[in-house]
Amino acid sequence: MASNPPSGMTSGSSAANERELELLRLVVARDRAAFKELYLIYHRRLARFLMRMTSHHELIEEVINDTMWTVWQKASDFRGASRLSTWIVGIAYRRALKALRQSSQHGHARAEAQLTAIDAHSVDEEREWIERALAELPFEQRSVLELSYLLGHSCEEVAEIMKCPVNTVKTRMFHAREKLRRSLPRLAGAKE
Amino acid sequence: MIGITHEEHDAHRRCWDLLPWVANERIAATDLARIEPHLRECAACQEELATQRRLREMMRGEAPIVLAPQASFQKLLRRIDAQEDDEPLDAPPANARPSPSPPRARRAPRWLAVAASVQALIIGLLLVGGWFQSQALLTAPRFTTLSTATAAPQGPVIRVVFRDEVTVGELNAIVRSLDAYVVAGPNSAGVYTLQLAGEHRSSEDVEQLAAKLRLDNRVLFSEPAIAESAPR
Repeated sequence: MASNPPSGMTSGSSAANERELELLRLVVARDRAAFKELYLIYHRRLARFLMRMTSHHELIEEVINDTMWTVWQKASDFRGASRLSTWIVGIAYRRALKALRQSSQHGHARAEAQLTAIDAHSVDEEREWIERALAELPFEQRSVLELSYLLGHSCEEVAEIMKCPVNTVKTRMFHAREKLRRSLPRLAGAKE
Repeated sequence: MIGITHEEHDAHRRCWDLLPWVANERIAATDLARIEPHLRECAACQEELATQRRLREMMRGEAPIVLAPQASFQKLLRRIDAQEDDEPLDAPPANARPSPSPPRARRAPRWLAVAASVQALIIGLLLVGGWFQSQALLTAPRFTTLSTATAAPQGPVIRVVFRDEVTVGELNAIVRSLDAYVVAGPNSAGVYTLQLAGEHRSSEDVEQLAAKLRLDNRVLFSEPAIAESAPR
């Protein structure tokens, strides 16, 4: 289960990964206290990621619990070929994608529209603009941005999470940046 | 970008594509080493890097988290418990791998463990009881009663039915007077089988004794027979 940190991983994230790996080893041994600690770490991360996809809290909780249920069931399958967070976020990404598609099929509001509702409660004008712009992006492009900036994954990890080639990640990121540039002219100017 | 070489264009595009992971500090060291020379010289890439850093900073701003992780965790635990209670005792794990202790997911539910314990206790008691019973049979003295089967009589025998009012003492006296002994009976029809002792073993002797018994008013029935057909 041991893994070598990929190049580009900071010492802080490496230490966090080691701690999470230790927790996972305990989870394999059915240590519920360790599972709870791991759950709380990922609940916050995944909630922040998923809240940008949907405002349905029940759906967010369902995706998080489905993800951590899989972690509990498959903990012994993790071989350490990637960071633990890549594995867990990958599970969450696929669960979210499936849940959002089902939600859409059942006539619920689309994630993009739900994001607008979140924005209405935002007190940060800049963040509100950002979130409105993100809401306009296709799901895959928005996911690349959020996996990279919100959860701090490398290009290669995003490719693994989304099960696509690295070049596809770069292309999605490229288009996302171009669209944000058009919808957020203030973004570039804000630095001045 | 006018007048740039093909190599410079490629270097710019390569750097531009990787800027988001420079911004989030997760770029691979080899990639960083490749784009750094261009990044130091290209104002457009430096400006884009600053933009992406700002975008990342704003995206990472604290979003209101209104979920209750503790309650969600308790809900997940209940789901795990319910699943584990439904799981068969000997179901092999999907990807079995040695672990420091048996996974709870592979354990039997508590009620099944209790039932198994009770079953083991009962089996144990039965085994112990069976052992004592066999020992008792081995060490018990052997008793022989009138109804106990003995060795199969050899030679001619006499079948006799006595009247109901004949006492045991009278019956014994009759048998002794014939120099015989009871080898079987009475069966469900009240038939006794008498074996003749000593010299009275010939068929003729048996027929004579059987005839003599028929003359006794305490005897209802008497006939010679062969031992193989003696009633039990």
